[in-house]
Amino acid sequence: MEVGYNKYYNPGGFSRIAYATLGILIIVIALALHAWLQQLTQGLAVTGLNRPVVWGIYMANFVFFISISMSGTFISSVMRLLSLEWGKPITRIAEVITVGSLLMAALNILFDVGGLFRALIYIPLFGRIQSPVGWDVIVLLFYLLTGLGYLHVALIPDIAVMAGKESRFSWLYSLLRYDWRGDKDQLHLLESGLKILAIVTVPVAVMMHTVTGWIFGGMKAVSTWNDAIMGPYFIIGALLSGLSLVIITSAIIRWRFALHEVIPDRTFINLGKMLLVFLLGYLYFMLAETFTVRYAAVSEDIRVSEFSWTGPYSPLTWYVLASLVIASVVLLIPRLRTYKAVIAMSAAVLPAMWVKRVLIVLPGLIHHDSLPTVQSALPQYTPTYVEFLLTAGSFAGLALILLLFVKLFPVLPVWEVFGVQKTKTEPTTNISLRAVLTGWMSGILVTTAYVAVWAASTIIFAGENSAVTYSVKLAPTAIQVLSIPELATTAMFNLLIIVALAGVLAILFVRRRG
Amino acid sequence: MVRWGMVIDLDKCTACQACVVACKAENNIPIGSEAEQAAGRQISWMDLIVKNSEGRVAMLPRPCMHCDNPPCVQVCPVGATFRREDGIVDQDYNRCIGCRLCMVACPYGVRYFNWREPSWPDTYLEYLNPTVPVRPAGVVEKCTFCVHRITRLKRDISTGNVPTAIAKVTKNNMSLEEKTSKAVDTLMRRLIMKSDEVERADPEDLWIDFDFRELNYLPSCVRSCTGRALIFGDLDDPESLVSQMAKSKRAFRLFEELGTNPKVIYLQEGR
Repeated sequence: MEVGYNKYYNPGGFSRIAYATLGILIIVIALALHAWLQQLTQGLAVTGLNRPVVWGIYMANFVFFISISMSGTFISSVMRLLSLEWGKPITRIAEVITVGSLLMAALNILFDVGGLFRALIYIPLFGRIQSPVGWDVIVLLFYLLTGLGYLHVALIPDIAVMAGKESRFSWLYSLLRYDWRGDKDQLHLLESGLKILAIVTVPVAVMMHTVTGWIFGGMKAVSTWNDAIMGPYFIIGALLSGLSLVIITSAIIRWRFALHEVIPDRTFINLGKMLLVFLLGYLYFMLAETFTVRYAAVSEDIRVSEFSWTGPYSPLTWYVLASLVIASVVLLIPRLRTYKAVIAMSAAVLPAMWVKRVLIVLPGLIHHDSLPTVQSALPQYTPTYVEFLLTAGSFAGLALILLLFVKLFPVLPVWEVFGVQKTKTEPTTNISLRAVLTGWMSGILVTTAYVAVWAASTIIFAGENSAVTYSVKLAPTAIQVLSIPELATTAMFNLLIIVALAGVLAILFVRRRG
Repeated sequence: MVRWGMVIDLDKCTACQACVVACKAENNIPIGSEAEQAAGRQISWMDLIVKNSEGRVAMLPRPCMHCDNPPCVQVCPVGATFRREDGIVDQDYNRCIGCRLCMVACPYGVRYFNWREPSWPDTYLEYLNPTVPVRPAGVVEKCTFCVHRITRLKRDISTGNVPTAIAKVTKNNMSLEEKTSKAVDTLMRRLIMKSDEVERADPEDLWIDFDFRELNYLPSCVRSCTGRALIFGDLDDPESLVSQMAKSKRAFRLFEELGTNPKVIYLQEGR
């Protein structure tokens, strides 16, 4: 037994395939950085965006990355809360996908905005709770916080074992193990902490995807977007695309790390059944959406629907539908539902889901110009190579995060699958596990309080038109006023950020007595 | 309170596009190219809607509607666009992060994004308007009802540097807002006055020292309208020309059903 799982603590060097992958990823990311630099210097003119198609594949990418972030923390916390033993080996892979894809989602929004540095400074400083982007930023930070906390806490027992081994990164491992020894009290503490984080994660994940759907659902000006189905639709879409990416990644990791015994075919077939449920749910939602539009036949909506079902975008729509239907049929028949079929069907679903994101964003916007003017152009959108490079770069970024993670840390939650090991070496730091857990919890609590105060202060002080009074302009005749309520709210935000950071740092680095 | 609004009389509009050109010149809008127009990146705060219905083409001048319940203000994540207390929906170019959510939210399509840095031919540069900021690449811009002209009028009223016609209608017990509203209405009535009316007017009357430059306190499109189809003024003042015309039976507003409550009122063409 000892020998059996010891190998997972040695992620080891790079094989030839890993080196080749790393090289390709770095080349793609370098090209994407070059494209981004071009976009930053020349403005968004280098993209294919225009009026009325003001959002393009950056927005589709954002929605897609948000949706695959559903995979990890949500699926692994559901598995923890329902005590599904067969799902345990894949939880860590899923959690890393969550953190990586959330980072890539944030990056894609930064590709999309016109003023990158203004966005980075002004959203924290002047963010408005009335805007869908405001909710999305809040919930994204929340989800990233819980996702990182979840990943980090679950890693501690494995890192502690790795700290005792000869490695180039042993300094990192001995830093991150805190005072973990592997005794019963600590294990109990860790498991209850993880349970609390898992419970927190579920509503946060649901809100994350709902709010992303509401960015579209709240826009009354765009035909077919203004629909109550958007929030639930995005949740089921997120479950579907997230799970299919988890299946594909687990299959690759099982192949590269020879984990056939730990992740048997049985696991994949179970995951395939889950995928089938989400597939049927998604098809049902697609039917519900299409029926409402086609039967009610509001002239603006039907134009968009015809554009995507029989018009220029019909190949894409039918491709999505065909992929989803074929995948559900294959997974529905028990004899066909094999390990290989599950992988193949996930690989078919994932790109189809990306195309579906494009189909949510584009047809509505192409018909957004409801009052065509003398100077408006024929609505069209052709992405340029800059957009494709940045898209490829963000996928490569996610892959790079995954690759580096599996080379640094154990790819399985070894302590959950094989049982907790007593550590051979003594911990070098004396930050207690309790302090770490308290740090994450209070981070989440402080963020909640911060958001609550933000919302309340926006409502109390500023009201709906919070920006009525300040107009700082270059024109010499413009009024330059910053009203006192605005100053108060801005100051309160900043004060709260500082207090929250100080609190988290204090708890994290508090020294145990003695 | 002042609530600036506009009435567009389609009976008088000849679709000459003088307002479009005047707006571009006044507000430092970069000169585009044909390729840019075909790509859908032309900026034009004032534009003509082309409506093809029942076999005849209708042209509607389209400034920003300056909605009382603006969807663009609602969705802005940083408060870069806002409704002023006098009802004008303005844009703070320094604050705008360029996320274009407002362009998606606006049902009228009056918001424009700067896809590139603005540029003009060299000979044009000295004619740029110094009272209007030039917008950099990456920000959204829109019609402001020439807010800089209204601000200038306010400043001139408060320093007393106005023609007697305006000085006569503004009384000391009025607030600055009321004075501005009355002054704009006086200018508006003078602008639409026909030549024979001017001749018949009493020389002792208001208009004697009137210089045509004073009319430049009005929005650029209104000032330049050849058919005098655009009427600008205070909708809250029941005596103002614009609020009286807005009561017309021919009045309608665009996308009334969306609940945006626009302050640009069209008067239907007579049949």
